[in-house]
Amino acid sequence: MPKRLLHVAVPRGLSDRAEAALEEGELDYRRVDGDLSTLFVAYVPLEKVGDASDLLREAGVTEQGFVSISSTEALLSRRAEERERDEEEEEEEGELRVSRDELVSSAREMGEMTQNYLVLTVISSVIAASGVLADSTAVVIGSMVIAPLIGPAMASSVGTVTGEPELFRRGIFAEVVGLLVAVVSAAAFAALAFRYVLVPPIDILAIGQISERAVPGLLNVGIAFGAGVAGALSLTSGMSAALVGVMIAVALIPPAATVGIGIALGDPQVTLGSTVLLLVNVLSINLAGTLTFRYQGYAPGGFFERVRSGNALIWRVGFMLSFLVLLSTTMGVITYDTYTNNVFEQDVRSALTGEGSTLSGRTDVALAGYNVHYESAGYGFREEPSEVVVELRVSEPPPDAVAEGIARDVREGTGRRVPVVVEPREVTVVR
Amino acid sequence: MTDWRVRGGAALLAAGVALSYVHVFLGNDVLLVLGLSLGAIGTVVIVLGVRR
Repeated sequence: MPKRLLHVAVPRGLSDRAEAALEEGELDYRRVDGDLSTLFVAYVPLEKVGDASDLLREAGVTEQGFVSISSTEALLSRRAEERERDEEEEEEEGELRVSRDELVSSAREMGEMTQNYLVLTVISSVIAASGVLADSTAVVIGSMVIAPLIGPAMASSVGTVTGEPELFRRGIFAEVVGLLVAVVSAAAFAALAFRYVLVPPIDILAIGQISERAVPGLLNVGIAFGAGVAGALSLTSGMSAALVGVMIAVALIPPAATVGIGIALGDPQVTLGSTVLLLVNVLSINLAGTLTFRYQGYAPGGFFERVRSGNALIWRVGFMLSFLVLLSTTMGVITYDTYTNNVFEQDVRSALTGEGSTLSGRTDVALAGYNVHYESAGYGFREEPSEVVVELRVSEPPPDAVAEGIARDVREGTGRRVPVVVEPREVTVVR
Repeated sequence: MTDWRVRGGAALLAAGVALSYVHVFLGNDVLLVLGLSLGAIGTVVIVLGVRR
């Protein structure tokens, strides 16, 4: 069972009150009296640390003395071992989590905007941009490993739930600055890459890493929400924050890099699509983190603090939910659009290859392939089929009736009056 | 309280990103160069303003 070592140092006048608090918390402790002050050392189960620090704070220990909470690698004490064994036998399998003070302390440390944070953000964003442009999943994952964005995201959520407005402000500020730095770095890198011909002149939406972020679907909300919950749990349960940070970065760094690429190219669809994705992911991560910390019971202990943090929580969750619903609606439209377009392509295939189609049973004409072209329909987010190109493999030019029949099959099979272009490609048959 | 260089740098950075977005819709490359330059200067100012 994880434990913490508590050092409580108080002036002699306060030592009895501190001892009473430790007794009330049913803690195993040692008392060392000095001339002017008293030191208590206690080896405390993780789940009792929160109550113990609350009791010591109420006793006024933190006003005139101090409480230090630290983790121990090992404790060599026969008495402690026996006690631990007894506790393990008695203990029901329960949930282990760090105390509120530890959580606030680690969130403060992680949410700090340092030079390393900014430099790592710039580097990870540039690597992500080059990975996205090269359509290399391995490089994009590499960029996420060094991205430090989990800290500020979790700090703002912890600040909201524990009623620490300063921590919330610092977290949000570092998060926004980090994302802006990521966008600018990726845009500058992509602009230079395009200017100095580091990227071949291709249709940018043909790159899978870009098209999936330029036209984001609703599934991304689930990914970001899961990342937020995992990030919160990593802080409260002692899981590796570095590892879970990669998951948070999945939802933030590649979309930010794609926004930068869209800006460098001046492409409204890529820029707007990935901006919507980035905003939805930021809101989802913060919302999920906030709700997870609240569910785990990290609200402040005092009545007034609890009411104040509760009010702040309601306002912030309401704000995040409103924007999330608004932006998710856009992503819902895109998801529906993708779904209907996939159904359209399947209908085209059935119309061309199904029983009773113009091409079925013919030996002089065979289907070589088909392409559905799309055009933008509505603010660059929606796409509708604009043309179906059918390629045929023929040994001699086919009669016009074949092209007319194919066009009729496609229109009847899909139920849409979309233009159909038939392109015969003659092949020589060697006998 | 946040250092004035950090706040000033963040303002420059935000202005740079805003100009870059305007470039996407107006297609004026001068706006892109200006936006990215402001963003880069803002980033450097923030890096100088925060502690190691």
